[in-house]
Amino acid sequence: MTNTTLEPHILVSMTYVSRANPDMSAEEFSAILQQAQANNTVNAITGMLIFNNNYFLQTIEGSRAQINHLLDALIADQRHYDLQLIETRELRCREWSRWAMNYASPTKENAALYLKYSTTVNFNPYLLSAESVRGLMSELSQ
Amino acid sequence: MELAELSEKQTSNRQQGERIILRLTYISRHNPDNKNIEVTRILAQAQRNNERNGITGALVINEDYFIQSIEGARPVINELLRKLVKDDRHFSLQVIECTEIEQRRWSQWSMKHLTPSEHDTEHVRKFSAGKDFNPYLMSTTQIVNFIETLSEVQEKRTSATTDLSFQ
Repeated sequence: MTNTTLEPHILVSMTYVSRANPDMSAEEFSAILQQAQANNTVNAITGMLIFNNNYFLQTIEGSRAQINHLLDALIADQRHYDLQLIETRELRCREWSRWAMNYASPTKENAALYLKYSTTVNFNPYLLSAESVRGLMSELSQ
Repeated sequence: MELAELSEKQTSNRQQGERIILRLTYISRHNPDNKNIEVTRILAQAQRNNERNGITGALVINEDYFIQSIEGARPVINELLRKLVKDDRHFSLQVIECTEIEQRRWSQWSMKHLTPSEHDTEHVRKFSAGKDFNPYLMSTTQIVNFIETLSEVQEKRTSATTDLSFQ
């Protein structure tokens, strides 16, 4: 939407899971993260990204129109597939306002947290409920 | 990764999260090149597909906008969302709400059709700041309550007609 003055003042949060293409390199991933951070700063989008076991798990927050524009781009993005929305809800205020895109890596220290919310040894966000995703993200960022 | 393996992985992802019921509500505008949208055909098609895929829901259609709520297994709803985003019979799709639910709201309908009539201006006004109906200016709660209200009104009207026919 070009005329943003017609957009209502509505903040939303959207969380999705997807699978990275099997041939994604570490360089390609860090390029994705940098690009997201740059674009998000311009569009007043904030959020949190987990990349583990070749899965993306991401929360994005911003104006309803901006977040839905980004969803269109994400669905069209060939670098990942099988995107599934976990949750979309209206927010009173942002939860990740300090980050254009916060990032949690699959480190040894984090391994216990991933297991805390999983029934499986290997991390698989497709199995998580919206509530578990919220808990996991919040603990990983502490 | 071999293609066969990849497709197997995709299938398994689709099965994961099957136990979760998701309700997704979106708004969109009609394609202006397509003035006479064939409502009957769109509805019949949706109802047929939804029945096959275990999807239930409600669809509000007015002259300019669609408001639709769909509910079903998380992977199934997401597959439908990807199709909806690409469907050129409407545009500017905005997901308003997407939430896990314990039980379905529209379990009796593969797609309940709701059309705000002239009598419903009162309900439009109830949930709008301005005079004209524009779901892009409405909050999640307003949109959800608007669908609920239209559904209630329509049911009252239907039962009133049924009562008359028995007299």
